[in-house]
Amino acid sequence: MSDQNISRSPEFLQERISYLEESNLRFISIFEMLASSSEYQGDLSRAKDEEAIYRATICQLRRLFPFQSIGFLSCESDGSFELLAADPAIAQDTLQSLIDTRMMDGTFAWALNRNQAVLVPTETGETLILQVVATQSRVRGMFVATLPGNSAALDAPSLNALTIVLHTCAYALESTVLYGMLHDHTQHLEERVQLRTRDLEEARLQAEAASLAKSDFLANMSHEIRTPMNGVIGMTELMLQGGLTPQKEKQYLNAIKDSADSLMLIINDILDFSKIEAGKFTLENKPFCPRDAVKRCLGILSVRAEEKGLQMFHQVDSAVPACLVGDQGRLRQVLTNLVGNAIKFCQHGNISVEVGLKSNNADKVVLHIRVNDTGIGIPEEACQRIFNQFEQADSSTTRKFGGTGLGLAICKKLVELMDGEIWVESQVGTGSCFHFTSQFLLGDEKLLIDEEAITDSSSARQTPLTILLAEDVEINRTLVQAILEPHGHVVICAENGRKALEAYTSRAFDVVLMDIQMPEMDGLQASRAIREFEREYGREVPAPILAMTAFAGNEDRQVCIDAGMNDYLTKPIKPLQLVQLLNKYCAGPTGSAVELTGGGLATAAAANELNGAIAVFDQDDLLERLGGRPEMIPRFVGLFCKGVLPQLEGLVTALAAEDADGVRRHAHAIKGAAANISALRIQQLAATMETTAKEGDLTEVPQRLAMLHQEYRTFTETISALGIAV
Amino acid sequence: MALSNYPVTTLDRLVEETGTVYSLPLFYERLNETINHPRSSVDDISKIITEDQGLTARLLRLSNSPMFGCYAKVDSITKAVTIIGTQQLRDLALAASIMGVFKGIPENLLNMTSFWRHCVACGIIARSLAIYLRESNVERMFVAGMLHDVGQIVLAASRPEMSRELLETQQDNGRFYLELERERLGFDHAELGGALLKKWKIPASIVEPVACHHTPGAAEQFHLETALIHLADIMCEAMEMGQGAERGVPPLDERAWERLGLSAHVLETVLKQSEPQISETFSILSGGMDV
Repeated sequence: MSDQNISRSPEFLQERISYLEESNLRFISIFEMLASSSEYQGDLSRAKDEEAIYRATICQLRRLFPFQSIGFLSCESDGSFELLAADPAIAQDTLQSLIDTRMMDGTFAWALNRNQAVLVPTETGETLILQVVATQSRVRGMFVATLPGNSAALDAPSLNALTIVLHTCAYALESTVLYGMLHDHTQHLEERVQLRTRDLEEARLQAEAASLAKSDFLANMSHEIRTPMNGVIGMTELMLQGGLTPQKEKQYLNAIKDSADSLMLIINDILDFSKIEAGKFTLENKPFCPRDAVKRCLGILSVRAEEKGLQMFHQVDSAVPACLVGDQGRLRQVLTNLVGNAIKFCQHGNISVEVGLKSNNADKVVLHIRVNDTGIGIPEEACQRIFNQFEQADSSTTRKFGGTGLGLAICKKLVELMDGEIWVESQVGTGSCFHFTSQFLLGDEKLLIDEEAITDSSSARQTPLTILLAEDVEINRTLVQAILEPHGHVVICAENGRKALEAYTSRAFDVVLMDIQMPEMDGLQASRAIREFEREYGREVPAPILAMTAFAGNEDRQVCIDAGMNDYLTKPIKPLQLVQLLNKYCAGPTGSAVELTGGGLATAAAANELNGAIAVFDQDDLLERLGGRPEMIPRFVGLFCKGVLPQLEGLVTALAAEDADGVRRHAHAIKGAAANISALRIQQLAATMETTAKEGDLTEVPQRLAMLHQEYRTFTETISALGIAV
Repeated sequence: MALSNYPVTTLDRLVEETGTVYSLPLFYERLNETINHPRSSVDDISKIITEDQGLTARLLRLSNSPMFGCYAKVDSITKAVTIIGTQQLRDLALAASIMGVFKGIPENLLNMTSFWRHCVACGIIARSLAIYLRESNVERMFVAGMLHDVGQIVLAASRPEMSRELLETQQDNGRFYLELERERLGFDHAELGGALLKKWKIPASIVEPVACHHTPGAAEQFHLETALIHLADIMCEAMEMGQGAERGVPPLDERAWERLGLSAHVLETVLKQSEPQISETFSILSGGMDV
């Protein structure tokens, strides 16, 4: 071979030696680089993100080649590439511009698909190396570097080593990304588990607390119910044994009544609450005077406050309208509850109630009512809780102060029904201030009068009526008889609907009092049958049928009316209500129960007879109405005097203006007020005045007005003669 | 027994004999040394190739063919070196000159056009599969495909009678050529080819896939490369892309297939991509060459 001679020349051999030496060194450096890969692997495993991996790879690659600059582009999710790690950092811009050029001319895309180093000479006399960083599944980035010299042909072993390192890099990137996703996922999962656990734990604690509160509530409740019940049973047994003096009997009966009253309160609470809970609670929408409502409500409570030596004030902001439309009963219920609590928890000091106007626009009036006390206060943590059902600030409270723990829960529900809020500010040992707001519609003042007409006629006398009472429970029959018979009414009893119907068909009745739930034939069926009978046999005037039931809701009222009944009484039957309702439906042909009472006296000529025939003041009558509590007489009389004087002045003014309606209104107010305190002569005089004014006749008014002033003076004299200090 | 009349045929002996007839192109060893040299430059590499004008022309045509689909015109070997890469160009150069090495095979034994078409197809498909798998240095898969059946030529050239008998027996009995080889010779053309390439000091990453392309399970170092040639060969046989001595479609080794982790639908895509490259490449490599 011709090469043989050349190969033996010293130059050739020298060249061979240096080639082998250099190759050897190269191989050694490659092996060293690969041998040091444990350090590289360590760096990779510690790397938290892409850039750290690139940095570690740069470090490893610098052992392989004398790169001038080196960097990695990261492949973004949108397919673009971003130069992430340039080394040295100053080379960032140079590398970027080199890459931009290669992107333009297609070399970059070529390199992406080659999976091996692509070498390109640069304009500045260097060599640019591009090699894709990819796993089998996807491209992760691009390696870029420059080497000095524009015709550098990197030796194959080094290029293979470069490929190895970049492969490792690519898989490390993939692992990091996957690990990151896994980590995020795990963390997210953990967070969700924690959140869920916390929710469950909260729910569990709440459920436990609610269950505990309910148990406490039941325990309290049974105590609350048992105590008065024991009283009733014990007293009743004592009385059944007999041999008691009338005084003792009266004392026992009073004790029984007290117990029964407090039982009634508890039962009302429970019934109210369950009705609200069941969503069956509807509000009335009737005009009322907020000032009156508050005054009356507090008037009743002030007795209890006085008994405890507490002072009670109230103030209604002048901005509060005179007439609102809404459910004054519920407003008073909330107020009664809050003030009742204040009295209960206050040992000394005072209670003040402020009624303010929160807003008044577009006919919607929102009242803001504050009830302040100087009581024991409520710990902060309990301020929210006390509005929960079955809860009191402290379960020991019940033993000390009594109560079902439903009161505030009911208040809260009622206030919410009235589109309001309820909250409390309190300091332990200093006192509490309960706030609530409730929304009403703005009412027309004129509407108030008609409302009063019904209420004020309560104490008027009636002609004896023949009353059919359909009621299956004996005690209730006895009660109704006891209320009505003293008024001279004849009460015929029937034990169920069928018997009531039989009775009704056999004779005439002025009115029917109908229990709803009865055996054999219930009240609704009986009422329908009665109306049917009336139609068939042409009774001229259908008798009013008044329902008596414990189910007190507007819907129930409608059911009764649909069955042909006229109105509705809530059990337990209260004497006042029963009498009022009878007045309303059983007035004589002139239309007013009052006039019926004063029938023969309704002329001016007869007025003089008044002096002899009728008492100035029927104290017994008033006492009966006040539940036999003489200590209340001065207060009521005082209220009457205070109220009647402005009305008298109003009469004078109206008369001067020849305002018949004004006269009628003032006369009406005086009549009602007089009836309330049994100032009988004033009542009759005012009634006559009202009747004539209603007919537009003012001729006799001046004379009667003088008489009225005279009567008022006589009344005050009579009062002071009786030793009643006003 | 008829075969006993022939001189004893062993693998080593055949390789020994062939070595004197066929040798690796001269440039290959020089090129190999140069690209491995730490100090050599692109110019050094291109100088070696451009000494062979035919090779230069073929390489430039290949560089501009659909096989590469290069973004810019490759108008010099220098550019081919930088764009395609040194090792890749070396492999390509070997593939581009191998048809010139094995010349003068009696046409009545093997149709060389059909034979080389089969080899080009196998190389291109193996290369395409390697690209799909994001393998680096995919040109070595092309060389390995080009060389995978050289054992058949070696036998035909050095033992034409034996070769003819095997081919006729195959036709008469309808059996696999390689099974007959194993029965009559105790080795097959894959082993024979591998042995020759090993003697030529071709890198093991090419030798082993050739030697084991019918027995991929026997590969010790280059399982992936071997599996690729195994699969590409079977695909060519099945699609009747050219033809060597084998008339049937050898069975696919299940483990080799699993090793590749490919799904079957990929094969259709790869075939579709490969077909234009095969005809173009074959025309470039056989152009102006007496095959």
